Amino acid sequence: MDKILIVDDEVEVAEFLSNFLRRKGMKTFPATTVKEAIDIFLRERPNLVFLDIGMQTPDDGFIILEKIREVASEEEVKVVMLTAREDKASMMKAKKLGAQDYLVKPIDLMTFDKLVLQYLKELHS
Amino acid sequence: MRVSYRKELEKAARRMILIHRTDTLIRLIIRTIVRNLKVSYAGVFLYQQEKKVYVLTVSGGRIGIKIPAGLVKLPPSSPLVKFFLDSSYQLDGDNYLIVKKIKGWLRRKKVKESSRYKKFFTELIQQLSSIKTEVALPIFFRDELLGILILGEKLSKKRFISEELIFLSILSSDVAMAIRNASLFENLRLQLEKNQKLFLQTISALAEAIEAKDKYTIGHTERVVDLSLKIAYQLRKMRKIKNWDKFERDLKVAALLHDIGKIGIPETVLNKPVSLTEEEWKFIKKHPLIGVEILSPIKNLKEVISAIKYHHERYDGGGYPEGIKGKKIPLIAAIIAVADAYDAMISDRPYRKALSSNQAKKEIRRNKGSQFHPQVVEAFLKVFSNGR
Repeated sequence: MDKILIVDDEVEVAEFLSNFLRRKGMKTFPATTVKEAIDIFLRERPNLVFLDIGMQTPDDGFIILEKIREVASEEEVKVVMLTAREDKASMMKAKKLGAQDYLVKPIDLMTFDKLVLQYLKELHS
Repeated sequence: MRVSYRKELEKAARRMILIHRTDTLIRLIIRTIVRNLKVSYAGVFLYQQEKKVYVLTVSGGRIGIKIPAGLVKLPPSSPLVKFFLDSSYQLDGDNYLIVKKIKGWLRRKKVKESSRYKKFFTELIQQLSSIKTEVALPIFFRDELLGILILGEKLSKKRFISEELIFLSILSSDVAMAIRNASLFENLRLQLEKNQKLFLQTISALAEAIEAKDKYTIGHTERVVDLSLKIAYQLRKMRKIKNWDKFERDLKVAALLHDIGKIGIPETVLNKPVSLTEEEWKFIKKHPLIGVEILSPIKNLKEVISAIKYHHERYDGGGYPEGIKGKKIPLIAAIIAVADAYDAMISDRPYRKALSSNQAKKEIRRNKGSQFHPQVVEAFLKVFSNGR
């Protein structure tokens, strides 16, 4: 079954997005630190992960991304950055480290759930 | 106990008058709504000019339920925005939107028979349900939709009554006013800054025009400004100067314009290689007053004008144009007098060669108390001993 991990250092954001997707019938897990994110990832093995970049340190998101890619391929787990950073350097680094999409805050919530369904569809095909 | 909305409104209104910053005000309004209506959350979407979208900027309520500020945007094409911009969608003629009503609308003949309406309202109800919004109100200033106020359901799950909706409408217009005022203040501030720049630019241009006439004093004005400011900084260490920011500004402008009166003096007199006649000297002595005349129509220059008028007065009363003495001479004028005299001495003139810096300093010191204000001379000497 589909599992989604939402990582953001702001607990409000992680909780809100988690609840939002849960209401659409998806199984979700929020995380607000690198340790929490990696622990939950290894335990629950979500197939879709949303990552903030700047958390307790400016590059935490990339650290988590690298850890995920050490153990899971792009076909197994889709990773999408979800961050306020819109500079090209961050976008390129994310792509290089194995993220498959890059969403810049603020996001259009109405299309967000459709986007999530799209990501999951791609994983299953 | 029934809440008196009127009283709450008055309380909130009183607090609002004291607040200048828009975001503080809007946060206060959101807190007021959440507390008084006991809703699960409330938030305000505000229009962002640069990105041309509405962004949820202020948010209150329970964590996990409330939409985090800065996370979510509404493009102008989204149904919720369209609802408020196009009155043909407002089937009950209300300017607020109660989500539960939309279900009823979808059952109306008019809607069932129109695919456009059907599609629109279906999307609208989906959009609002996904963020658990129960009520939405537009924030209009005239016909500009500045933002949208959204509320989650009441914790009691009860419906919103008309008194509450009226209360919310009033708060929405308060938000509109706050945003409007904030942008007016911002505009005013920018204008003031722009005008100040314009003002200083004009003054510099005038100063250059003066120098262009008097070929032996190129750079003189700049040097007088520079030295005057340095003297003022030293003086400040020695005694209290009231309203320093204004003093510094006025000194700068006065120093820039101290010779503006020379515009009225014939070039032949200004650049005469030998001593002046009695007649010609009279002309020269007029220049501070010409300066006053030129500047008098400009507002806010009172202290500047008086400094320019009196910068050739002597501490002992033997100067011009009026022969005032001692403390009657404005401090700015006294400072410019020293700076002006020093720079004149170390510059070549048509009628004599320049003195050395040391000789000029000696002259100034010699005239402490007679020509020049004693404290200003002390400050002047400190400028050089500090190696500045």
